[in-house]
Amino acid sequence: MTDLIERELELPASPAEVWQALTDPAWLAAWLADEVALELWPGGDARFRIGDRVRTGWVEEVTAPPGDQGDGGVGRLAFWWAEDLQPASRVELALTATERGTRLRVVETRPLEVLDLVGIPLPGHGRTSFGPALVAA
Amino acid sequence: MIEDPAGAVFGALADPMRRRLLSELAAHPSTATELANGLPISRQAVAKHLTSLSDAGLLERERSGRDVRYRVTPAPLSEAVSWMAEVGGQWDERLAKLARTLSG
Repeated sequence: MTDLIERELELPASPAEVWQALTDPAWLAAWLADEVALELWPGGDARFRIGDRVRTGWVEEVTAPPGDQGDGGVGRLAFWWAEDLQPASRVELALTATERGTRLRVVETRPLEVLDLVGIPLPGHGRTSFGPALVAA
Repeated sequence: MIEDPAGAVFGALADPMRRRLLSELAAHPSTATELANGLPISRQAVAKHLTSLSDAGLLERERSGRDVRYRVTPAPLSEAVSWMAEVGGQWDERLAKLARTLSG
């Protein structure tokens, strides 16, 4: 199992515009990190500067969204990043056209956490939600 | 590659008896002898499993007279929870900026 963060929002822009914001270094510098260099092909290098910290990684998937007027197709950018010797995590940005714009779904996962395999409440964590059953096969 | 502490955790949890022991210990911190009394395996076998679980960082040892009492350490979970809080907060900030950028 995996640590996972998921966010979803609808943006008032076309999939093509959102895709540009996800892939163009100038746009990326406005929201993702202070400086972004992405080689937009599978296996390409990725480098992100956030303040004086640098994350490096690689690009896993680059699928531009199909034409602007939503035919249900999904655009997807996936990359891995890590800072120094921290465990790497995977970021997936998926966008689909909606009536009013574009829905962007962000998932960041870190394939690390396996305690929820056990599904037991652990002491010292009153609000743990990992119970009650063993879910993973 | 980066050494992966989760590999050790996963290995420790791969065994059903170790998962059962962890589950017992989460309910009641116990010694190897106490655990063995309720299980169809020897004290030595229990002790060996407890060592694996401790090595993976899942258990803490605590001296109890001549015996050692084991309890589940909350640390690996805390680490996961703090990761999710931190990374979730970062995405909230980034996506707010993205939304402003696109509507500006």
